Amino acid sequence: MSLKALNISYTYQKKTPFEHKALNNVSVEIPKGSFTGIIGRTGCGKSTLLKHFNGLLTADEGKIIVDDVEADSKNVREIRKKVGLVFQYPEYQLFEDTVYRDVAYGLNREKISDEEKKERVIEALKTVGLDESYLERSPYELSGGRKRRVALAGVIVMKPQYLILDEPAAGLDPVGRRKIFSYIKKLQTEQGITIALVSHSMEDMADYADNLIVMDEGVVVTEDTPENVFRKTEMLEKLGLAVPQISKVWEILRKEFPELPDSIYTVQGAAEEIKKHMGGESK
Amino acid sequence: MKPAIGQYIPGNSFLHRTDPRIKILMTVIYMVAIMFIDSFIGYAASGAVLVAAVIASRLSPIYVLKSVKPLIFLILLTIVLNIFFYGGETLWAQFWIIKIYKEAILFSVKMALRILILVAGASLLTFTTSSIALTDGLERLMSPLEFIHFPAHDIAMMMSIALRFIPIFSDEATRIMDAQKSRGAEFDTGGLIKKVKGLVPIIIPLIVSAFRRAEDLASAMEARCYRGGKGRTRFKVLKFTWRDPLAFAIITALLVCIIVFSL
Ligand SMILES: Nc1ncnc2c1ncn2[C@@H]1O[C@H](COP(=O)(O)OP(=O)(O)O)[C@@H](O)[C@H]1O
Ligand SMILES: [Mg+2]
Repeated sequence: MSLKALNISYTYQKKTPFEHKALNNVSVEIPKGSFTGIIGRTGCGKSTLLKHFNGLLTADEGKIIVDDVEADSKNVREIRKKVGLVFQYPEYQLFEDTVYRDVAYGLNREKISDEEKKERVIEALKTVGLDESYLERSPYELSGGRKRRVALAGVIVMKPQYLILDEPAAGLDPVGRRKIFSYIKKLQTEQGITIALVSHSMEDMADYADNLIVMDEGVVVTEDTPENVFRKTEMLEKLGLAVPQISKVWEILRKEFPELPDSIYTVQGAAEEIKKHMGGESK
Repeated sequence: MKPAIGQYIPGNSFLHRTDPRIKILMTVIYMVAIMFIDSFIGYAASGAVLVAAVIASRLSPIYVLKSVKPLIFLILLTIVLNIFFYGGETLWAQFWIIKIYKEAILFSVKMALRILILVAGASLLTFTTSSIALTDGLERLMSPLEFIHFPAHDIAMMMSIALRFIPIFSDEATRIMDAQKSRGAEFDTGGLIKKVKGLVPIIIPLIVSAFRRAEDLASAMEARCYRGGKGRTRFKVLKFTWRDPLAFAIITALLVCIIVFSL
């Protein structure tokens, strides 16, 4: 069970002077239950790939396989139910006059009772840290971070099994980004929702992801654990990316103390290794 | 983003390099001429002028065909309405109470041709002229009117902003539609009322974002000390070259011939 792209190619504005090949023979697998991060410089085709996963774009070549079922034009509805996609700056899609109605928008097509609808909306809001007092407020009067969480709830309410997010923390302050990431992580650990997200923050990727896809100019360069990806400092830098700050600190430390283990890429991991090195016993 | 009506397609052809002022004048004269023409010979001739212009633009004719595609419905509607309601003398066919006259058919075909040629001509102008050149040309053409306090610069500036924002809003609309689709919206199912209602989740975010962008643009223009047209100089000054009088002469001569012959 997984979300798979098999040999996907996609060209924008085919047969015009603006033709642009955004994906070139891309194959990736997002394993069920994983927290998969997608990194790559701007314009490398990350968003284009994400749009293939829930049928917003149809590949010129190749196929998308959702839990062993090939996506086609007939099962788009089921695929979209299974695979929720949260766009970049999702707060711009809010349109209703109350938070309740906006979050419930996606449920309007489902045949469920009003009570169940309300329950699901409240539950979805709770998963993004908003309580019932927000139900009747206008989404437009909320702060940027809360608006975004409302928009996120509007997708979570559909109970997708795969949740795909395009730069969910872009433009938020540090507290806002930590909150968003912790809610997303909880969706994975507590509800078993598979997460795939794009982020430019290597630190966030190191902290949360357990599987990393590295893209460049429409191709997948590598798919591996964060540990293995962040070992390849040179490759990442050539692709316009970087290793987390703490890995750089770690490299400097390792020059002084070669006995330290290699490949540390989270603050937590570094702290533990340093403690061990300093005699182990902490108070 | 699809190549829409009004989208500039960069190129280096004769038509691309003709001065925008000339192109605008030519298009206006062409349109006026089409209004005068009332014979099939005239339509054939002006169609030929159009074909010649397409060749001079070195664009694929597919673009021009695509630009009239959205009008097919409108054209069919005019044809049908005209056939039913435009009277005539020579009865060709009769179904129940519907009488179809020869004159009605001829009239509606002419109407259809007129619309097609008009739109194709106008889109050829926007295909070969960037929006900056277009508004620059318009401003210069309208500038004599400033003597009677006609706000030529402001109108040109508004037009260029509007033109510039068409592709931005069409992209934005696509983005918002995609976002709503991925939370369960379906825009292509249901009856007419359902479809119209289905537009609300697109239109409201679009209007909100239009206001946001307008504010941003206003601040950006103010930050660069924009104070209207007075005393503004240009980076690219329009200059006539040998092409321009030539193109102008050719097209005017052709059109005069067409009008004279087809009146
Ligand atoms: N609608 C479009 N038309 C033409 N080109 C596009 C369109 N959308 C994206 N592109 C191009 O495709 C490439 C990949 O875009 P995208 O997937 O958005 O990149 P990323 O999300 O990695 O920044 C970019 O070079 C972009 O300019
Ligand atoms: Mg993107």
